[in-house]
Amino acid sequence: MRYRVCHVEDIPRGEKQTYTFKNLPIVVVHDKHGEFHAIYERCPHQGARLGAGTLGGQTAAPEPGTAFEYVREGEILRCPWHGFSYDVTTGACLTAERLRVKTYPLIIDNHELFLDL
Amino acid sequence: MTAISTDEILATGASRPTGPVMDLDVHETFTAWEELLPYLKEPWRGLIEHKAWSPPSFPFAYWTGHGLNRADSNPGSGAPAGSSYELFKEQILDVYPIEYAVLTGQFMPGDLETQFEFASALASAYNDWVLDHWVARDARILTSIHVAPQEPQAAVREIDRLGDHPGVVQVMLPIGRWAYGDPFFHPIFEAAERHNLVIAFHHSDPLKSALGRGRYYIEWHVNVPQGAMSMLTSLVCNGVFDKFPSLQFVIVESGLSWLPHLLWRFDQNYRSLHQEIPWVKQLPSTHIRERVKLSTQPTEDFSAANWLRLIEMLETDRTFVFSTDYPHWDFDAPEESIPRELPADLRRRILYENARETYAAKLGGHA
Repeated sequence: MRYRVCHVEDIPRGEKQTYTFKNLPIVVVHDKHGEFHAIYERCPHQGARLGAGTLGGQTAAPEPGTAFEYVREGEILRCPWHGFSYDVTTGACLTAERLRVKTYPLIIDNHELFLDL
Repeated sequence: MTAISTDEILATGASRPTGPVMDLDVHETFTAWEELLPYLKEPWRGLIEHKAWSPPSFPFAYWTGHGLNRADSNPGSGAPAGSSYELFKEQILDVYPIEYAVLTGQFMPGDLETQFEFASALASAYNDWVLDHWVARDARILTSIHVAPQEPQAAVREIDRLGDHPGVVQVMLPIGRWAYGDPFFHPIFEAAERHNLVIAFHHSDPLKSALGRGRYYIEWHVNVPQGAMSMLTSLVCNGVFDKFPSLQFVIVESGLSWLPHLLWRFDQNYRSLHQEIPWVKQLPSTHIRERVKLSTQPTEDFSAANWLRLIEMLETDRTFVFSTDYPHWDFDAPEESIPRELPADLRRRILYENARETYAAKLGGHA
């Protein structure tokens, strides 16, 4: 079943918004490339609200003393409590294989964003 | 708690292991610094010959009743314990089924705070002395290369000079002054990996706990594992495991029951803080389980049941490797320190197989 989320311009690129559909808390992320992603809003670690977390990127550097790169900006959502990092494109936790948040398909129809539950 | 008498133990007829044993911590020494003179060139030779140098000293007295060493390990004639191959053979090699014993030394060139070129020269002289006076005398004896890690390029030259000697299996780095994860020390790891050598760590006299040395020797000695824990965090966080993927590590004589705590705490922190150290590509516990061994002595005298609980918490039986620490006062005998009640295959792992596999790149087989 389709649920209307918002107009695509309601969430600027690089930002997120939390919604509730069928009692399910869901974070919708508009990444830097213009893609939308929807993931379950509770961290499976200790139940914190991921909607209150920080949307950012990922560091990359081959070894100590080398310059840091900051990649995948806007695609990594960090839990507001312990900083666990979730890939919003897959729901995978970057550092705990056991942990994953569910992802949901989104549909854009005439500039309106819909969640398919 | 059940009291066990020596008579009961001996009556079982199983007081000594029958399978092979590898002993990863034997503290050999010379009788006097002058024994190094044939192995030193000038200007270093003259500094010893003319008594122009005093080695660093340990600030505590040992309250065991007989000092640092087993009371029966003194070879007589005023020579220090650990200076006699014959006595070592009589008390260890011929008593237990030792396939290999790995020498770890007592002199640690890394302890010298100054004049690093001299420290490197002493390290080289000591290594040559050990090869001539110990390794050459018995095929069961293997040794460590001592280096002055405070001078990494000299350490690399020493590893390249002796690294392919068949009796040399590891590079010894003291846990005392330095956290070796720092990239300053990485050339040492690169050289060790190039020669299929293990990196061994052993605490040394300058080691301090998080709160200093304390007033008493017992404080200092109980707190020794803090150095090993700090060393592992340094190695992991600075990417040593990721940068040198075939290097194996042995931490000698720093305890073992603390390891589950470190792995859990380290993984928990990594899950939250990994962005600070992006070169670390897998959980710290994975790196440590795959690449680090802890020598068993001093075993802390815990029960067989607690050994099994510890191994269950670690999720691996490949971490522990046996060591005696001969001739020091807290020496562990193989059969008595690794409880007979443990499953036979686990005892064999601890007494022999884990170590044999760790050194397989150098000794061949058992990979």
